[in-house]
Amino acid sequence: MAYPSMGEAHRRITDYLNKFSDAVSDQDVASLAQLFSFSSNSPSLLSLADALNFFQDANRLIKQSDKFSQFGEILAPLFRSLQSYRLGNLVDAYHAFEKFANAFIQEFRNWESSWALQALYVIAYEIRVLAERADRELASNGKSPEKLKGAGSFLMKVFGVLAGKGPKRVGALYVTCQLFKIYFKLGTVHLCRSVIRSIETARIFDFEEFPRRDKVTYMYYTGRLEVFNENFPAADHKLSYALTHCNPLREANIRMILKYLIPVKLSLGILPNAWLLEKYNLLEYSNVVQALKRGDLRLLRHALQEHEDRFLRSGVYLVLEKLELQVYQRLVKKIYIIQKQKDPSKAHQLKLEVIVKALKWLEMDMDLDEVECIMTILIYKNLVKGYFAHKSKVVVLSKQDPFPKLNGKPVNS
Amino acid sequence: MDESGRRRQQWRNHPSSSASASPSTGPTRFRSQQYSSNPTKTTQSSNFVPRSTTTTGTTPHNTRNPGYVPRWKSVSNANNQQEGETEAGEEVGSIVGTCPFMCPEGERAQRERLRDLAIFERLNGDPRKTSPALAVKKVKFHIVSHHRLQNCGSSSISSLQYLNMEQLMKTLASLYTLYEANHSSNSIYENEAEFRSFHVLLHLDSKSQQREESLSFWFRRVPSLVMKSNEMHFARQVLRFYRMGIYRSFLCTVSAEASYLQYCIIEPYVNEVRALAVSYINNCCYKLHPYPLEDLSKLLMMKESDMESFCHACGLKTLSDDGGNKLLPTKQTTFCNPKGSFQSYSILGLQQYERSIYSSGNCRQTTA
Repeated sequence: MAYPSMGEAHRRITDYLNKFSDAVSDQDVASLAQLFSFSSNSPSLLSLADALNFFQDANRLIKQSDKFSQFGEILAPLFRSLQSYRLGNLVDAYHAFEKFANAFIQEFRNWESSWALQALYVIAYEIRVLAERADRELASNGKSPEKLKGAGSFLMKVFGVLAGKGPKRVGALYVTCQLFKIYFKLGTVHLCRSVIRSIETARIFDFEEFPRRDKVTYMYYTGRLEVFNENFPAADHKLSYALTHCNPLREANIRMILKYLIPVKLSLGILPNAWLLEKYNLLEYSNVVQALKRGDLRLLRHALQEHEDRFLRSGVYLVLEKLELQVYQRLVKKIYIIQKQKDPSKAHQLKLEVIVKALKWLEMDMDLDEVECIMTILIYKNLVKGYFAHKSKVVVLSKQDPFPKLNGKPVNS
Repeated sequence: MDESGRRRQQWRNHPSSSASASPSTGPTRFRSQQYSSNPTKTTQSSNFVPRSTTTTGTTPHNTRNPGYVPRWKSVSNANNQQEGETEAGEEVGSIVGTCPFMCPEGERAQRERLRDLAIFERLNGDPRKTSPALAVKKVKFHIVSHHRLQNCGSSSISSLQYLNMEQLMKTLASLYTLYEANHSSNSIYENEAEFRSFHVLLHLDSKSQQREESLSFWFRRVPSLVMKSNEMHFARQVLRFYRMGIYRSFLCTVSAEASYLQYCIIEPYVNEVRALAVSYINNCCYKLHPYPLEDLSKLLMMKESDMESFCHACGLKTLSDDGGNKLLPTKQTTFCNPKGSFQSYSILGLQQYERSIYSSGNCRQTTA
């Protein structure tokens, strides 16, 4: 690291201070936001950090002029944070950044218009990312990681600042999404509920007013919550919204949405085309889709086992497991079709032992009682129309539409 | 709710008093082959040792004797009533175990040093002294209490049930945190699989998810090795069968594989699943072929003598044919879910669990 000379360091710091106060007085949010975007690791920020670490007495420079000292409470911790960041002390960097952010919010409150929202977004993003890194540092030192949790509390405060009648309220959704990311990472998703309630029920918010990008992210996360709770119609609505409004060039984002939307659609009886799975690299679903098409229970079980870790991690495993009933429906339908070809007059009577045999071919060893159980479930849930004659161990299918399609509705519970 | 608040304080959520710290206790798995007519002598793996309930915490003389088997009688004693005990006047019979130590020696000594002893664990009320007979395993205690409280149908129990469940959840959560903090990459703790399975079994009902973390989310935190364990495999199967209503496999699997503690948690669901089965069968079966109760009882793993009253509890009529066989006519419109805590019907294949629980009790239940 080439150290600057004293004069050079002085120049860099004063330059920065000027940029900061000019940006504020000109309401130039683009320039302002760049000044604390640590994660960009821009050369100018890094060289400023070097200068600060060398100069060591930046506070004196801040106090030198009214132009800078009016922002003293904001700038001093910001400098400290940048210095620690440069030295790799992320826990210290986080602490100072939080102080900076708090001071900034106080000032932000006083600015009537919403000119500085972009800068606020940058702060919200940076504080989250910095907290994650600080927690990693804590964990690696055997200490308990709690900075991300603290960042969450800070962002709740920011949310409160934005949740008012003025023009700043359109920023609330961005902050909400940062909170979602924090809660999902920490595993405390139940905390999402209170922000969701504020966004969706407070009269000051009009969802359509929010920036499109934020709406997509919001629907993605709330859609995922619906998937976890297995509310498939609601999950379908939200994730589909995210998909249709997502920038088509953002293929990584589309893939993330599809990763959750596909299991939801499958649960509603809607299958994706193979090209979709290929285009977005979601081939882990290929065998699941095939199993549904073929009524191949063995294939479904195999697919779940093969990708078990991945499905568990994304949280869709339990959803995919439940597709079993639809696979059984398809299998029974195929048996019916074969029987119809052989002898149409008797096709609507399915002997349980025939179904048992078909399952044996699939290497699924089930006895008559278990198959009877499955058939009563299929009938009860309207996946099969008909009735079961226990004495003769025969399923008697309705002559009309014995295998109703789901058509976008979830299986009856 | 002063008293329950005080009672609550008696339980401190001390992580080391959970199962992970115990090399000395054997697995809680209870194999039906080991069962013999007198559970008290042969059930090594029933590790529950009830606490002494005297006010001063005096212990019987021979606690150091490994053959010592404390007996628990419910004594109505307002001062020393702990969570999980029944109200005065309710006799529930005695639970008898054979393992002498609920809490391993090392942990006991540590807690004595740190003065981390709940009131009922104290020897002669001394906060610095306990004994092997008094120091408890919180998790196992709460699970068995949970089961016992379910089966004592008194309505005044419900606040106890709630508090007990709360403590059980808290204890499990801190146990899991301990596991997660101390994992090395390729090993898991001896009992971790079974104790993780409890969480799954306690959340079979997806309705509870609205208030808490969903199971899908919880699974993300569980190490892959644990997820693939027999105990978790069992719990996940039970979960799948329960949520999809696959009653036959649910009953067969539970009967074949549940450990004693797992069964304590599952038991309330057994009758719920049976009722579901009856409603499905009533709905789907051919009207002209009434379902023989003999077959139904085998299907639902119940005693035939219980099957009729169960159907009636579900609001359905039964009839007898000319040969005296009992039948369930189908397509009845009066099905209703049996309300409240109804009679506990044993599950064929697991009567040994129930016998050890109910050995001489007056709790409403069926004996063999």
